[in-house]
Amino acid sequence: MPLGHNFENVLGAAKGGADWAWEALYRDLAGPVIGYLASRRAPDPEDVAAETFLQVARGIHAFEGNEAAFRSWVFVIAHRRLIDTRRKAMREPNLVAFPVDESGHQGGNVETEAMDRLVTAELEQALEVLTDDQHDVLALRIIANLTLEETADAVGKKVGAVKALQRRGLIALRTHLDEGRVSP
Amino acid sequence: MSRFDDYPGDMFATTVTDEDIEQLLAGSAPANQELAELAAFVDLIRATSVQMPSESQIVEVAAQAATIARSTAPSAGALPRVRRRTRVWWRTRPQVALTIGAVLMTFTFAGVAAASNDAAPGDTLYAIDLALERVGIGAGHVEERLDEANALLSSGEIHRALAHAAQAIDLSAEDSAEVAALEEAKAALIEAAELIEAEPAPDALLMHENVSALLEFIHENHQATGVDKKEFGQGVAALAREISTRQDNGPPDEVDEPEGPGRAGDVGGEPGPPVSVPRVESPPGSNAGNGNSEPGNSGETGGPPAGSPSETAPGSGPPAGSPSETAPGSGPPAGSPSETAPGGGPPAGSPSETAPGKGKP
Repeated sequence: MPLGHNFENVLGAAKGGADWAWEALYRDLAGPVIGYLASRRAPDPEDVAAETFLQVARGIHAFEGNEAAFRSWVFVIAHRRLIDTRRKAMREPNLVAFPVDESGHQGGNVETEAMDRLVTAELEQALEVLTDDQHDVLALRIIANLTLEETADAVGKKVGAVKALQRRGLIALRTHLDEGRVSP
Repeated sequence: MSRFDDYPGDMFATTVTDEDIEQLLAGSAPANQELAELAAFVDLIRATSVQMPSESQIVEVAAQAATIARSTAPSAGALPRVRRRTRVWWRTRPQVALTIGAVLMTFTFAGVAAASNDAAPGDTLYAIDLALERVGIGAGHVEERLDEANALLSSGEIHRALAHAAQAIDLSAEDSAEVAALEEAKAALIEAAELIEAEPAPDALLMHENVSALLEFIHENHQATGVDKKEFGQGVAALAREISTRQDNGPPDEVDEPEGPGRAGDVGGEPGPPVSVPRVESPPGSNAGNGNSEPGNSGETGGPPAGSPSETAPGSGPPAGSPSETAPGSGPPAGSPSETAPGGGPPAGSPSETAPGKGKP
């Protein structure tokens, strides 16, 4: 839930190092950040999300902007962290348990969790038709709610390339849905 | 508009515009019926993807982030400076003092000693400070370690504060029973530090209060001698174990005594008897009597060292309506990490404030 008109105050207090302000920021963004990281198969999404926020804290004094810009910046960092963990996983293939533990979900309401469990498998199966790049872009657009430009910024590609990736990804998904009828 | 005519078996490329895709991804119902099914799928992804972390992780990450933000503030140093009893110019103007210290250092050994003595953990000079103390120069060993532990505690680094407290325990004593008690205290502190490092406290605020009380107990009683020294060691060990127990069991039951923080604040004015083990109901003597050092003991029988677990303070504490720096003051009791942000005036009862009074006989 966005912080809205409080954002400016919260940001100011966060720069001053107030615990409550960081709680407000983390509470607001941790859900989608962890969701994004989990969907992109980060080995330990909660850890990567925490690292992301510590990096945000290190850079907070240089940040100027509104809530949307902040959100976008957080996801830029989360995405870079994700890339780092992928590289690390490639270097140390045996140290990383790859499949995400789906039982690790916390919070949320009962209804969502139940639905979650039901559809997770189907969802994942469908999403497997995407290439990594397509999946990155679609997850940033859908889960992180970034704009086309913000997504391009996060993945370090041109807007045109992002457009192409999301279009191809959606085509692949629809083809899969048409073939398998896996939608709920 | 890009086209992917080579894509097999779909009209998608020719009938779906970029605007349609933007609508779809933005979550609004797409005008293009070609996308209805895909829109449901996108909504599903959005609905099931958010994964909230646990409450304790939120609090923990927030505390760490706040600490980083404080320490990287353009005007702040790398770590919170230890607050001293006296306010003389070289303490209130540390940059000037450090500059002078640096100049002195290049010329004299005394300069090194002087400059390094005020160094906090993490400072460049801190290693020198420790080394000098080890050979007996600038000694203030226990008090200095405690001040540093309090500074670490204020910045939310609970396990480092405990490890520091362990360093503050001076093992020199008359007989072996005293040494054993002191060693026991040291070991219990290290164990508590390791436990908390491995798994941060579920209730950071309460943990903060407990550790603060522990540091205060060491501060009040470390000059004990003889039998008292043994009791002192056992008292510290009991408090440390209680902290470990809390750590294992999660937050304890609600404690209805709201006077905890107040008591902590009182101490400066009224120095208790040399060794009274004020914070734990179960006297360390009982542990000594039967030699039973079961960790559960003190935790069950005694009230917590200080502070009622004000659940609301860290979690939902900050009222959204009044998010100014000073707002948290109304929520958490004095001595909470946010209260001791650098630059703020010394809050009553904050850990480092309890230092005065120790000089008095």
